[in-house]
Amino acid sequence: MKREPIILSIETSCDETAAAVTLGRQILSNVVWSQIAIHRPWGGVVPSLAKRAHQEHIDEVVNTAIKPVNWQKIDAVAVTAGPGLAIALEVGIKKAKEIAEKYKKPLIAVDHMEGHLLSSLAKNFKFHPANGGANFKLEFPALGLLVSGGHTELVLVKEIGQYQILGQTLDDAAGEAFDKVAKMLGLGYPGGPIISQLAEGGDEAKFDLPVPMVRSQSLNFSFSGLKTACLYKLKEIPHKRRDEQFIKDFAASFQSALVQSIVLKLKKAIERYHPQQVLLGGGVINNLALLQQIKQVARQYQVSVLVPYSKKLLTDNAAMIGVAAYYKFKRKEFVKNINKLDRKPNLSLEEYLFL
Amino acid sequence: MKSINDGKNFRVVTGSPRETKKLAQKIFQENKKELRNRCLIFALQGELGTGKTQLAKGLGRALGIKETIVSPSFTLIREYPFEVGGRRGIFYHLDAWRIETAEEWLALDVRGLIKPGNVVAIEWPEKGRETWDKIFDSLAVKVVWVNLEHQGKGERIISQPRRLGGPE
Repeated sequence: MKREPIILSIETSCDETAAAVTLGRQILSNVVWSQIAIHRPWGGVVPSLAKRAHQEHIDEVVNTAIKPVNWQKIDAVAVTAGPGLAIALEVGIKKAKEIAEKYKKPLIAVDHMEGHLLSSLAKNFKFHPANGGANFKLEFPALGLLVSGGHTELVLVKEIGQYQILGQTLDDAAGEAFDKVAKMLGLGYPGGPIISQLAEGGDEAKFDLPVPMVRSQSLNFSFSGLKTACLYKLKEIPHKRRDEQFIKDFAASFQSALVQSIVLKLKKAIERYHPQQVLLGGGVINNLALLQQIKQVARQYQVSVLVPYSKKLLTDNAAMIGVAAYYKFKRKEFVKNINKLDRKPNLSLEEYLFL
Repeated sequence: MKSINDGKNFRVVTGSPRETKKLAQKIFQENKKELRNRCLIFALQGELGTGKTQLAKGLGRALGIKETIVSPSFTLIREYPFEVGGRRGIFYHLDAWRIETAEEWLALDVRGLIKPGNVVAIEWPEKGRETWDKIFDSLAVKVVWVNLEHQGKGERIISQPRRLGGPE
């Protein structure tokens, strides 16, 4: 094959029904149908709604994603096998199997977290200039920092496909902490964007909240102590005294403690593993305060930072699955027996997903 | 750890996450024998930050699970295979924080997880209590209800009301 492989990817691990077509690392289409609007009245994901919504939208999303090419042009179909919500993963896997069988294409099973990890390697149609354009070269070891609603992980990338988890959350994920503190403050869902917006007008030194895991030498994260500290602090202040400025100051103080905690672990990981590059992924990277501090640390240690070229690549999407699938395609890691591919709700990046 | 005996409820005050985990191990040991022919369910009721996940971590330790038990708020269900005393099973950690009604659990086929020999910890079981009661009543289960409350200064009151669900 002279050209790079064209891959159709499907991702339905949680809230989003997504499909994308990639040519090598280049994104030809990236369609995401978000369920956040459906979920908002409930303050979270409602699983049967999630499943029904995935089933209702998957055909439309896939048919839109395929438009830049035609079915016969596809070289492989890729799908997220895990981690995620079992019944949601099932919908995508079923669809991917159907397409692979109908058009006789090989199937590639992808780890959702590998998608986030490699999302910054995605290219737009002109190549992403921030990543060195066509001359961009990934250097190893690299360090992945993945921060989302369900995950907070530091990953050592020895090579693409070879990962070691250096640290992860021991309790709540960072995005979850945003959601829970937003709920305590009576704000909406998802909590991250709301808190970060409010924090811009707030004083982060106003409330003394503990920075989690300061003394711990491990690279693990923990946000449940911060969550509880927020709860105690809020109990001291009656609702009637919580004006707009109070909410802004509290949001800023909370965000600052959380960001400091993440950045502290990033520094430790850089000092211990001397990575050439830091790869960022996950929806919480959209938080500007976090991104700015990460970049500052990277400058301090003279390590380059790779960030996906669009916000859409940070939250759940299928194009990132396509990028991970591209490397698997090159390594010829196809699903051997399509019928045996099953959802893996607890999949970890250290597991070898070659089925 | 201080025990308070008011004659009706089993009440303990824990002063740290570590103590909460220890208490969980103790509660598990007291109910372990039930695993022979029933599913052991721990229904953990309490506000945000009262230590429900800590308690689940303690259960995981009692089951010899090496993996880190993390909050399932986002993924709703996490599962961990275990082997304790030569008995194999799966520990399911459920979290209804993002769920409004227990009917949603039926869509997740939660009944399929409740099998003799398995252990299920449920956070926020008070959401849709009636549905949970119906599920429990129709299956071979032993339900241990655990209430967690804040008591200032980092302390938690952890109590087991005597009969709030499941046969004694």
